[in-house]
Amino acid sequence: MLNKINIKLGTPFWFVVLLSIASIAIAFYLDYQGIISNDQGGRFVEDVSVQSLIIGIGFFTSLLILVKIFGFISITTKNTLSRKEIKKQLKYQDYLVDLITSHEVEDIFSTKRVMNNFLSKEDFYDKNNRKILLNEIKAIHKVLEGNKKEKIRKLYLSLGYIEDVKDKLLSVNWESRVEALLEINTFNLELYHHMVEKFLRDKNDNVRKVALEICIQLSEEPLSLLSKIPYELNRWEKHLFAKTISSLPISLIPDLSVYFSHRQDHNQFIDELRSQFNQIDKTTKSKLHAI
Amino acid sequence: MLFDFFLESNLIEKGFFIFFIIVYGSYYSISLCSFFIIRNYVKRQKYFDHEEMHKSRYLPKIALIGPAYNEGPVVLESVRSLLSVQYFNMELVVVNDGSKDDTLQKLIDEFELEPADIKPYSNIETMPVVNTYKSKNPAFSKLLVVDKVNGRKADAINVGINHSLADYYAVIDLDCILEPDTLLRLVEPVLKERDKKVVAVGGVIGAANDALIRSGKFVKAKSPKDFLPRIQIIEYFRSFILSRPAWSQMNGLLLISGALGLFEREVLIGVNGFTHNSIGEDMNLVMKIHEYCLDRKMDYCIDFIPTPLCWTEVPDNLPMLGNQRNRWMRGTIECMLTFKNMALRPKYGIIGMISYPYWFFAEMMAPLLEFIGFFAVIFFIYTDLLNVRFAIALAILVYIMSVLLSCFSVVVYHLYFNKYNSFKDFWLFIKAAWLEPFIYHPRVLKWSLKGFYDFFIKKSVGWGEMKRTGFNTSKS
Repeated sequence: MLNKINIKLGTPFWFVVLLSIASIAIAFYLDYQGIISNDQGGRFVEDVSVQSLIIGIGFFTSLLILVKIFGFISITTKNTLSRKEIKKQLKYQDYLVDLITSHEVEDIFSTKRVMNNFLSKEDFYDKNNRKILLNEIKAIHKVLEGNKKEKIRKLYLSLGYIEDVKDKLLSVNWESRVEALLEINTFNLELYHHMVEKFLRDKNDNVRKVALEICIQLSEEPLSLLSKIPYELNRWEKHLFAKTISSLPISLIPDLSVYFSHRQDHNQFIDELRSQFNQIDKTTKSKLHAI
Repeated sequence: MLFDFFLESNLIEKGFFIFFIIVYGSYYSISLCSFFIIRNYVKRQKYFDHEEMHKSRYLPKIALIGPAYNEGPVVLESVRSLLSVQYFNMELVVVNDGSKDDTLQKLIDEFELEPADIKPYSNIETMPVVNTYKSKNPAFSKLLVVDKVNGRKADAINVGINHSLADYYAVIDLDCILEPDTLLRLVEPVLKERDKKVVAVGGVIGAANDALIRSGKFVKAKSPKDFLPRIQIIEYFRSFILSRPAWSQMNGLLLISGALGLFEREVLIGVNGFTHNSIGEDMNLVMKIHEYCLDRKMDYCIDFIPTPLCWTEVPDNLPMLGNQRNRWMRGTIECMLTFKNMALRPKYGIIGMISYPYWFFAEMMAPLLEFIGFFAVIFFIYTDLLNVRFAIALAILVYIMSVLLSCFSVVVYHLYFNKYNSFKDFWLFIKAAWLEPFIYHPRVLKWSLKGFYDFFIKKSVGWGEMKRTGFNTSKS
C-alpha cells in the first residue's frame, strides 16, 4: 500500500515543483489583475498571512530544487574531480616510476631538470597539482627501500616542499600541522627536528599525538621524553613507547629503572615496562645494592 | 514583516510561535553541533592508524555478548561474522536465552561445541544457567556458548557478563552485522582516554534491509525497495547522525542503542548489569551508569562514534514496526519515571539540568503535546482565538523545517560516510523525507500514543516478538 503511494506521489517530483511555482505565478497574476482580492477589497497579496504562505511555498520549492541541484553537483563534481585527480595521479605515478628506475646522475634531481624533464610549469606552480604529487611521493616513499627511497626524498627536497613545511607548522589549522610533522618524520627533515618537541604541548590533541610519536622515533633515548611530557600518558601513548623499545635489540634495551622520577603515573608505566622486559630482577638487585 | 505580524498577533498565536522557535531552534542547534563533530571526527580518522592499533598490547580485553532468542535463521551467519571481527584480544559469548527453535543445536553442530564447566566470575542475579559450551575446534577457541532458561534480553546479557572476564563488554544484537573494524573503532576513545574514564561507547546503527551481505560481511548498502524501511533509515540518520554526537560531546547521552554498545566492566558490575525487567533496558543502563558515576563524583564520559559500525534489519511491516515503537515509548516512559530523581538537580550536572528535561519533553511528551496541540489548534480556531491563516502558515513552516532537517541528515550522511553511494539512493531518501510527515509520522504518533495508553492504563510490560527473515545474502 505504502509503496503504491510512494510511486504515485514521489515519481512526478518535478511536476509538483512546477505546479507550486505555477500556482504562485497564477495567484500573483490574478491578484495583479484584480480578479481576486482580500476581505477589505485590497490586493490579496497585501495580506500578511498570504505573504507568509507564499514565502513558505517559495522557500520549500527552492529548497527542493536546491537539494536536487546539490545532489547533481555533488555527484558530478566528485566524479569529475576524481577523474581529473586520477589522470594526474597516473601521470605522476608514471613519472615517479621513471625516476626511480633511471640510472642518471644526481643532477636529475635539480629543480630545473625536473621541470624540463617531467613537470610542466603548471604542474610545478599549481597548488592542487603539487598536493597530488606530494601525496604520490609520500605513497611511493612508503613502499620503497634503500637507494630508491633516497631518490624520492631528494625529489621531495628539490621540488621545494621542504619550504612549505615551516608554513604548515605555523598554520592555525591542526591538519596542516599534523601533515608537516608527518613530512618531517617521513623525509627525515633534520632542519626541523628540534621543532617537533614543541608540539608535545600543542593545544590540539591530534597534533600532540603525532608529535609524541615522532619524538619517540627520533630520540635515541625515548624514555627520557617522559620528563618532558606534562600530562598523564594514555594507553595509546604507552603503546608507542613500548613499541619503540620493543624494536630495539635486547642488548640495547637500557635498565629502565633509571627513568624513575617524582611522577607516580610515569613510575607506574616504567614498572609495567620493566615487567614486560623482565627487568624486575635487575631493579631489585640495584635497590639491594643501594641499601 | 514577520516581526510586525508577531507584534500584532494575540497571546495564543505568540505562544505557538515561541514554542515553534524553541523546538526547532534546539533541533537545529543540536544538528549543527553534530555536523561539526562528525566533520572533525572524519578528519581525525585520516591520521589514526587502526592497523597499528590492532598490534597494541595495550588494547583492553573485550567480551562480545550476543543474546540469542529464536535467532535460528540468522545465528550461524552472525556468529561467523562476529568471529571474524578485527580484534585479537576478545571473546565471543553467545547466550541462548531458552530459544524455542533450533538456535542452540545449529550452534553445536556448526562450531563443534561440547559442554565445558565455566564458573561465573561475577554474581549478577539471573535466571539459571543450563549448560556452557566451548568448541573442540581451536579455530573457534574464542567462542563461548551459554544455554540458560528464558528470561528476556537483559537477563541473557547479564549471564554473558557473569561468565566472561574482560575489561570491557560489547553488547550486540545477534541479528546485526558488524563492520570488520567495529571493535577497534569502539575502543579508540578508551585508548585515548586521559582525564576522564571512558565507561561506555556507542556507535551508529544502519539498516541492512536489501543491503548486500556476503559470508557474514557487509558489502554494500542500498536504499530498501520498500517505503517503510527507507523512511526508518531517515529516522536513524536524524537520530544517530544529527543528534547523538552532540549529546555525547557534552557528556549528556542518555541512550546507547541496544544493538551495539561497549561498557566498562567495573561500572557495569557496579550498577548490577542490565535491569532484567526493564522494557527499555538499553536506556535504563545508560541512565544507571550516569547516576552511579555522578553519585560517586567520578570523572567519566560516555562516548559516541559517529560512523556506521553495525547493520541491522529494521521492521518491514506495519504491525511489527508499531509493536517496536510502542515498546520504545513504554521504555522511554519507564526510564523517565525510574530516574525522575535526577531531573533538574544540579548535582547531576548536564544530565539533570539539560538531557533529562530535553528527553522528557522532546522524546517522551512530544507525541502527547502534538496530539493535544492538534485539537487545541482546532479549538482555538473555532473560538476565534487563532487566525486560520496563521495556523496554516505555521503548519507549512513546521513542515518545511522538518523536511529540511531530514534532508540535512541525508546530505551529511552522503557527504561523510558515503555508504549509499549511488545518486538514485540519495534521491530516494530525499523523496522519502518529503513524504514522511504525511505518510509515516501520523502512524508513529499513533503508536507512541498507544505506548502511553499501554503503559499507564493497561500496565503492559511485554516485549513482543520480531520475526527474523535473514539477510539478503549472496554466496559469491
